[in-house]
Amino acid sequence: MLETRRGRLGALLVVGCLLGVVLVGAGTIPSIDLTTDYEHHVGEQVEIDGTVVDTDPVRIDHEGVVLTIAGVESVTHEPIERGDHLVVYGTVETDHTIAAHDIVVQSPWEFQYLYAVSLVGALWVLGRFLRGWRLDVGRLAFEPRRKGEEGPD
Amino acid sequence: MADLLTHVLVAYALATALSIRYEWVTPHLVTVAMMGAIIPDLSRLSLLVAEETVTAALGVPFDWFGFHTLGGIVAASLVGVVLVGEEYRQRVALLLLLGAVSHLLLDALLVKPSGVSAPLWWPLAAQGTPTPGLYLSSDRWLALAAGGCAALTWVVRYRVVPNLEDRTWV
Repeated sequence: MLETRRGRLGALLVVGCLLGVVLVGAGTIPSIDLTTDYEHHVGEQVEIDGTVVDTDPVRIDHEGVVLTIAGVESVTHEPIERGDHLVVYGTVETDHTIAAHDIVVQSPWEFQYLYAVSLVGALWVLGRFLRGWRLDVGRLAFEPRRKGEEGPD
Repeated sequence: MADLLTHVLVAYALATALSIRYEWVTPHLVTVAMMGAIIPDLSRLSLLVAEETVTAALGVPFDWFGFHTLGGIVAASLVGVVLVGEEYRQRVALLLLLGAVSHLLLDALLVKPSGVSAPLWWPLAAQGTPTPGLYLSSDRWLALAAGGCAALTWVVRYRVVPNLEDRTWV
């Protein structure tokens, strides 16, 4: 049933819809959104992240909203600089302030490393895939290349 | 996420180790496991198209993070299963899931200030699991450790095992 182009396209449509349902469903996973109706969440514990825009006091840009992080000195001795990425676990307080219980600090270059190294990983897999598999356009199916069939067709 | 290279190296090591015991796990299928390890990080599509854009356009809740959950990797693996012939479906499904689940398991150990992981196991659970906080995604030693494991399995699979022709393996 699934061996023809048409069968596969139909199946892809179905699976695509399933994937769509999953991504929409994931949008309903409960989480605290501080960008809308901040006051509603005062008193709640949140884990949020953002980029440091000020260091004294420490303020981060969390999805467009600037939040002050209180109590940074008591949870970490790491130097915090503008541009660093913070993940903060704390209590929401009035005046767009989060009282921090714990913080993770990452500097921009650490993210550059992360993305560069991830790119290497992605390219390696892409290379292996292109060398190992070929597309049978007639059936719209991928199949392993046999020995001696290196390179794209 | 831990860095993608680490995830891919771990998937390589797991699949290559499996190939020692199961002959049908060819290098082509090791590649499939490595592709499975990438699936959860399709959530990074949020860097290209913001969730708000999709929600505004379609009027539904939406989160690319869905790819980084159990539900998401199963749905995404089905795409791979559809795109291969009947004779490869089971094996491709197995190895895609092996790679993807290994990615989720590694990410379940990431440092989180709250002590709880992301909701990786949705839809089975809407909350994450307590994490021992072993590493940050940007830790450099991760790729080295994973690379070491990958190198080790390569050596065993392609250098040690072929030289033990006269031994019987359990």
